[in-house]
Amino acid sequence: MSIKNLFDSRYALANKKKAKEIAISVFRLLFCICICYLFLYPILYMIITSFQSPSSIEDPTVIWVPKQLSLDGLKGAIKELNYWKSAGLTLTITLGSTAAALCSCALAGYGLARFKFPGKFIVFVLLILTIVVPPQILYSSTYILYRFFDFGGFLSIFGLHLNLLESPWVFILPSMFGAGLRNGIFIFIFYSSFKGLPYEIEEAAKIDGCGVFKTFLQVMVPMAVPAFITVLLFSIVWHWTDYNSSATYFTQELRPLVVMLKNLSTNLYMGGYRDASGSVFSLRMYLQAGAMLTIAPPLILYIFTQKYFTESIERTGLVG
Amino acid sequence: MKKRKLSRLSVSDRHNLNGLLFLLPFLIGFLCFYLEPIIQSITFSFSDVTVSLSGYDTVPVGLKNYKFIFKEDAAFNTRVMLDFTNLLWKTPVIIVLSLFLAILINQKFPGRIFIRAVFFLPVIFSAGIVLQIIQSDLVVSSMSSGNSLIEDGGGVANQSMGLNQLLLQAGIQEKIVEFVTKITNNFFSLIWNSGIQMLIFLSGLQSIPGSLYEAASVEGASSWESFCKITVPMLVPTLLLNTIYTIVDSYSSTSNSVMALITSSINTAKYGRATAMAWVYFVLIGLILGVVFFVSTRTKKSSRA
Repeated sequence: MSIKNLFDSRYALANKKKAKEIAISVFRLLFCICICYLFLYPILYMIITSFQSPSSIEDPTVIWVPKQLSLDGLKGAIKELNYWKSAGLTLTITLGSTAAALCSCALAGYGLARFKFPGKFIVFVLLILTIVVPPQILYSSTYILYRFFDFGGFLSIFGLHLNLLESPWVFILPSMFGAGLRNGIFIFIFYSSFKGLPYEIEEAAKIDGCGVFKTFLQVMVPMAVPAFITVLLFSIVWHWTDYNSSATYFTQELRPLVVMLKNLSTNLYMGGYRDASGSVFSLRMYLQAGAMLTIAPPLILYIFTQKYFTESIERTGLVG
Repeated sequence: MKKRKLSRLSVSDRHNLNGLLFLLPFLIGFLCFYLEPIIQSITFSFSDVTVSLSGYDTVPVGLKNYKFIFKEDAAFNTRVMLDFTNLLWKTPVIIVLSLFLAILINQKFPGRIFIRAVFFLPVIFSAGIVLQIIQSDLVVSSMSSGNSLIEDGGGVANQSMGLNQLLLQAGIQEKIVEFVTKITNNFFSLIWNSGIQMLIFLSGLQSIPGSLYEAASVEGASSWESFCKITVPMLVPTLLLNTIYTIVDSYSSTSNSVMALITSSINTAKYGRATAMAWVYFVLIGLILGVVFFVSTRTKKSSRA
């Protein structure tokens, strides 16, 4: 075999490898486009429909580009959702419980990750219990519990009890004690994140005479920023979009946004939003505008923070 | 007395007791917000509950509620069976799908920042309600596919007849064909439900040290080999977490028919029966979780040995 032959065969091999790479990237691109279609189509549909005017909504020639833009859908949805008030309520719930959950869950996660104390196994079992027991099971008793809330009998010594129903406290107070919406998962995220951090820095802080809580606040918290961002975003999104608990604890006039959205089509019908034929079908733009208004705040937040979020997810080390 | 006892403890013991201080809020929270409702709902399940304006009354009735749901309530039994079959086929499909997506966006290619941002959208839309509204509308407006985002719609059977026929005529077993068409029919819902799982896998993938792959490629391993011998074994704990998450998440979904039944029983003031149903359902799910946990710890041990 001559040197030239050898060279040729190597060249062919390199070519083959390159062709394979190109084929893979083309396949990958096609696949990504398909998945993006699945994810973006409903969102685009929602946005476009909510800007359609009542006249063009039933025009079969209008598919994607509306013939005339109108704000009717948005206006109707804002009115029927009682948007500003219910969004304000949802915002209070979301921000309050997120702040509370960040503190309580980070403390609990650190306590589990770095200390060996008697009964730690039991605490772990309790934590898993809070993750696994579906909140729906407990609704019938938590409803009564929150109606006459007394901190496990503590307040009733003084003959007091709080009515947490219909107020943001029904979410914020449990979150302060790591017992709020999906807080078990947050504790778990903090636990595995703190567990993955190196011991050496803590040891150094201890030798330098830094107390346990000071070490936690000034050394460990800054190192666990990705976990904080991850939990922050999850907590905001899950509180904003929670339906089950919100619908259970809020039954009066003022309700969180998602509960209002669920009832929107009924409210529209009762509110006299119907066209000449009286069909609900033409209410589509109001419904879509309502959906858009509901999801817009977390979506906008995500668009601006997605870089930090995606990076944090990768660095959190969810799995300990 | 107490002081002396504390001073007798070693330095490290005293340090470790601080852990309990860190966990104090959680423990108080568990006592106040979980323990009481859990005990209460167990007693509810063994009694007749009547709620009045001033409070509630419970009359213990023994196993009556449980007897009712097992012997007389046909809806509960059929719905639990349906839910379990759904869980059995959906969980593995969601896991495989989300693993695939995670591997895809873990690669480096042009435009991946955009793709990644789009793939994370299901996490933001975790609300079933918003999707439901968009979805119900899409079906009405397009009438093209019965693909229901939220539930396995009734009108789905017709639309995949083509694929069904094709696969059957190709001589593939009927059960496999059924499975494949089930996946394609629900692909939309499956992929919108695998957002969090994808995130968990992504973070698991990132935690695998790159040096392992380098060593493998130096040794001449193909990418498929390094996937089977490095990625999959390293992802076992992630897999466990994801399986548990998927199962736990299945009962928070709005399409869960068992939970819908329980909620409607609560709304019609049948608290005792509702809690009995809920506990039966939870124990069954707990058994599945236990099996998953047991199997995965076994494989972990054997892979380490």
